[in-house]
Amino acid sequence: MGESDGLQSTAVSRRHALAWGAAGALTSASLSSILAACGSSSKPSTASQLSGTLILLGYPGWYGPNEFTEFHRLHPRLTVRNSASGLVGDAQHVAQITGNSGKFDLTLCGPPVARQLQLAGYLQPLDRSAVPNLKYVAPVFQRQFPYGIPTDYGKTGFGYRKDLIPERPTSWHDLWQLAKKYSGKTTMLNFDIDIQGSALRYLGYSVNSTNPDELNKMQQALLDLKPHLQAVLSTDYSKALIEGTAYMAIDYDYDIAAAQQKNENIVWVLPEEGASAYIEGWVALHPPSHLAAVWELMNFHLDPRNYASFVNYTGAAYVEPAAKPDLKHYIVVNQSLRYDAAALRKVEFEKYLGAKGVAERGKLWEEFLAA
Amino acid sequence: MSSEPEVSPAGRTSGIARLFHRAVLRLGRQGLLIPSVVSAGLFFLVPLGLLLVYSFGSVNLLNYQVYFGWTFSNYTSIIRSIYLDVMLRSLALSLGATLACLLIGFPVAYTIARARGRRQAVLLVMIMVPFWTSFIVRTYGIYNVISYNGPLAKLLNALGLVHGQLQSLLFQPAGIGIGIVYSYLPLMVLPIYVALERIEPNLLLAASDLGARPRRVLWRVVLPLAAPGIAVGCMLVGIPATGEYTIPAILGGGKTAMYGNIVSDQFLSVGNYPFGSAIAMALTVLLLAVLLWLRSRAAKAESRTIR
Repeated sequence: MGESDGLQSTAVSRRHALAWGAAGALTSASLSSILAACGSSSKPSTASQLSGTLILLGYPGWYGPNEFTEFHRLHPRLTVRNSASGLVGDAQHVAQITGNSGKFDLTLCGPPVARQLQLAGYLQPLDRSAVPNLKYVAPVFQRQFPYGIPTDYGKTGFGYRKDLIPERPTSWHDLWQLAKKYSGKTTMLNFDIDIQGSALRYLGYSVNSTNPDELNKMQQALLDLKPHLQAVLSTDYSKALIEGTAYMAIDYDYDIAAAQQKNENIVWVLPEEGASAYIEGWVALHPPSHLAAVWELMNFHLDPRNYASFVNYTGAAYVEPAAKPDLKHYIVVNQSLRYDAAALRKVEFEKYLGAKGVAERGKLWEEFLAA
Repeated sequence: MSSEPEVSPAGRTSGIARLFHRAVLRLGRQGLLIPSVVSAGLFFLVPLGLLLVYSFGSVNLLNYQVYFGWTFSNYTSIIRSIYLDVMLRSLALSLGATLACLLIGFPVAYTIARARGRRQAVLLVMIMVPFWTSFIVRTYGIYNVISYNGPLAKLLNALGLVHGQLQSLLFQPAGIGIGIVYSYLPLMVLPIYVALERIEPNLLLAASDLGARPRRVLWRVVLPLAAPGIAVGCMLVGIPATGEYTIPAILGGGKTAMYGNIVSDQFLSVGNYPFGSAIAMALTVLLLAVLLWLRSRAAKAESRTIR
């Protein structure tokens, strides 16, 4: 996925900035967290017995603003620390965990990393009975992320400036055509799996294809597009679109949603051919050292009020419809962020393609960038 | 017949003491080298050695464990056209940027070297001040200068130096070149300044007295004497510019991959440390070979001059 999988260091800071941009929600979110901490759904009977320090390997600030403080208040002998060390791509993410076995208790990741960790023997299977608040997560997301608790998801579509082009693109096909017409006015994400997935959908193939023939056609489609691109961005994905120096941007839904707050002429498109989607969540790592505390933290995170606080703070697309009453209005109504079953039917979630598949995709992406 | 002078026991003792003293002094002097030898070994040679060892290994792409099977496959894979293309592109861009730095940097260094007192100090500070800010911040600074309808585009359009209406140099190879020149220029200016500063003014006067015109003085006296500074400046700019990662990533908009980006991708995105090490080693060896070749040529030229 773009965020947890192909994450670059720049994306971490972008997320951080995004989180700070949503800091206006801090006051209400804090209150929600406090109230949630008193709620029955997140208060375990064994609370006082939990102790130690949990280390979460995840992006800085990608949790509720007061979440860990409130969790500590509920469990005074338990603290949570976030580490973002090595989160500069899937490979580094997995290598960080396999090379430091037992150092981290849980990590934020997408299915590709989770599955890879599972195959390598570093994933602790989810104990669903220990995380009762999982019931609040929509079943579709539970199915897509069986490795732990889903926290957020995102779709890769595109945004365009309705005031700068007369056309109203609705598909990948439209984007490919218009990018050539308005050469140099389209930007693209620098995340292989998301962009390759989008190109595969454009051609009518599965996002997770490993078929060499389909991959070759995908590569050709991307190479055809490259001369007409303004940039392949690892950060500030929507800056050019907001400023009007680009007319279209292949981007994530939440980023376009944030851009729409700055420029109302930006339109989000979930292409007709379908789109690739990522999901991410927390998984417990093996060997476990504070397993009961990990489940407790996961359960706490999924408490609807705590979860709403996290979503309000980060601006991510949410996986818990039960949190809706506590979410910011713009998130609930935003076309790209709201929980939309019809939109979900149009997307295909990214999966782990196997070591060979990942290597092949990586090689193609390298060739695309080097071309 | 000569006989050895008698050495009294006291004299013998003082001789031994002197020898001991000298040995201690020598050891002391050599001891001063220990920190630099240790740091160079620990932070330069050991990583380079590790890189070399890694470059002959292989990786399990499931858990990223590296195995040292002494395979040459990583090196044979470099022959793939994309890596060679990127290497050539990096070398061309680096060469161009070094040349531009030299053309801009030499007059600047010459002006500073000829300036005196407070003026010289001010000019030197002006060259060094940008170094006090973060490299990333400086790169983002130039980002704004060359961005869409930024000052540079406006200036070039106003002067009519471009064909048609230029909107931006951002996300283009020219933008990367400008970024490299901007960032590395002080590294060219300072060594040339040091070389020029050492030139005895009387030599220039003598050349003039002997009838040499200013241009001839520059070509026959100043440039040869400044050659060591120029060579150092070219190395300080050219070598890091070839493996530059940050500037192409920010100013190139991800469209112009350079060698540093390819190496970084292997380590961070693909997780193939052995292959990344092999690519890095290949460039290191290439640059080392070029340096040795240049050095041997310079030595030959020097010996010809002496003869």
